[in-house]
Amino acid sequence: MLFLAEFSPIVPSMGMVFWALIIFLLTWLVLGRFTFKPIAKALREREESIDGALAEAEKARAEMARIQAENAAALKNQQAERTAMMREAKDAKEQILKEAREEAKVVTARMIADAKVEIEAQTAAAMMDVRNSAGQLAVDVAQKVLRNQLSDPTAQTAYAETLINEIKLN
Amino acid sequence: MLNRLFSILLTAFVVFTIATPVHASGEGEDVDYGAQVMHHISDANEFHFWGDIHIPLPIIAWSKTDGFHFGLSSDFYGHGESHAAPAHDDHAGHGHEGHDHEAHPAEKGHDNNAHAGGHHANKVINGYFLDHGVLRRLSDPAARASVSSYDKVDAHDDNLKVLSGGKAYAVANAASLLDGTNFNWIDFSITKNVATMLMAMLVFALIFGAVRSGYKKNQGRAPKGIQSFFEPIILFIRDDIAKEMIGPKWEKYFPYLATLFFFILIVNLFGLIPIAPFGANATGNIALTCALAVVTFFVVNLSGNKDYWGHIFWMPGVPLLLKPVMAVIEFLGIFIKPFTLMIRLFANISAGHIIILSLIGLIFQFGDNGASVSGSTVGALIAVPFTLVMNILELFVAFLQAFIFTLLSALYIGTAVEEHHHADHGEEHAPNVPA
Repeated sequence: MLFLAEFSPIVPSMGMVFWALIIFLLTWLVLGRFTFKPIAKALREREESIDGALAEAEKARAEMARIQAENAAALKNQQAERTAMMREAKDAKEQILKEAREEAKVVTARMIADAKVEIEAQTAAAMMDVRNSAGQLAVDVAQKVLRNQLSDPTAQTAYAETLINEIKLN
Repeated sequence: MLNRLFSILLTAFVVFTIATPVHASGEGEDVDYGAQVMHHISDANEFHFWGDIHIPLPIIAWSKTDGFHFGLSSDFYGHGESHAAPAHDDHAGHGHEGHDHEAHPAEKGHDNNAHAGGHHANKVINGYFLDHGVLRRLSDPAARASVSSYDKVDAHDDNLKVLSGGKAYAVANAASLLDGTNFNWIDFSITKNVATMLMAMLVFALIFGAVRSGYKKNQGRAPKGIQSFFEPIILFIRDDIAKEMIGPKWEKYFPYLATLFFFILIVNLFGLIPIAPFGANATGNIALTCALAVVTFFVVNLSGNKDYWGHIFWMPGVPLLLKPVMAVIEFLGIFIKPFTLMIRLFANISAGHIIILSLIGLIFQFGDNGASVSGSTVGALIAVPFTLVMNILELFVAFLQAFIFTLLSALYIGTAVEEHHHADHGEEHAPNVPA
């Protein structure tokens, strides 16, 4: 027990309190200002830059997704457009073909009709010709026949008589 | 602590003494192990290895009457030319425990002249002398002028007396805070605790200079080397102590808390290195914890806002009659909080050192203070593994106590800077408000 008072860490020696204060305050002043303050700042800046980079990356990703979606939509649009164009072209082709066919039909019909009229006209003209030729031929034949029959005057008188009878009857 | 070294030396000693017959006197005497332990955990003006091997430290003493005295602790080591007091006994055989002479103080006092012809701190300079490495002073001004060496320090009747030339002189210890203003001299020496703090400051500065330059070099990038070793601890102090306890104003107090944590930690760890110039029980000395607690006290109370003082002197939301009572309690709390910080760190670190020293003491106890070699061997076999386990536990305690001191400081700062919303209080305390 003797030394409890003589060698004791419980007794706060004034000299040691003095040195402890000086040393600790100096440590705080120097290391606090030149070490921990800049470290805290560096840590905060790094965290902010990491957060910023992450946000930036997120933004870039969103932007990329948006562009991709846009591209996909554009592609889809283009495809639809192409399909529509092709359909239209097909439709147009069919329409044109139909129209052409119809017109051709009409033209053909008209040509046929024209041809018919022409044929009829030609036929009629030919018939007329034939008729005229036949009439002339008949007259000629009749002339020859008559000339032959009427070479005897009695036969002439008899014939004339007949004709006069015919006319009278009428 | 010197415990590891002690263990090794003891083992060597045991082996040596098995081989050679022991011819030593003074063995088997009663030893005041409590005193031994207290001496080892106390501050001293020199680093003591064993026997007469010391690292001298600067002596700076100031007295009211004579002003400053500068020197080295080695100044006090004479060359055996002192008053030829008869050697009391020659503690050959356990020279490694050279300052174990207080082992039998009641009978002989502590004999600084035991080793005839050796170098012993028995000089008295301007009244100052070393008693087992601790600077003390003669009380009597006349004696200070006349006495130049002493034979022994006698400790009868719980009063230290210096015996010199057959006369006894009264001794004055260096001033402590407990003396108030009633003191004669102050020991401003670089004692082993002060030297430990200085080394801690240097190591702290070197390590964190490197860490800081890491942050400069790897700006905005991942930490490297020593920087990445300390970053988790720094982040822990920042996120789990400063931000958690203080809140939005944490940044202003972060440097203080980080300094506090690492300073305590480094000094704690230095105390666990068993070889001088380490092993001083500095954070286990109340002077150091007192200084730290005082700084925390000022940091807390100088940051106190209106709400803090309001809660101390006129606690909102308690009945009117209770308010003065609360004010007294809260006012005492201002001082009790740093006081508990001071005691907690001091007691935990000192306790660790005491346990380890007690385990080492088993070797002497079992060995009957050197008389029984087999006893010493058994003691060593028990003490060494237990000491190892205690050292590992103390390693944890070193971190834990640094953490607790820092955490509680942050908590107290947090209460001082916290912004209270009176709307919250109204709700919280509404049922208690008297009509």
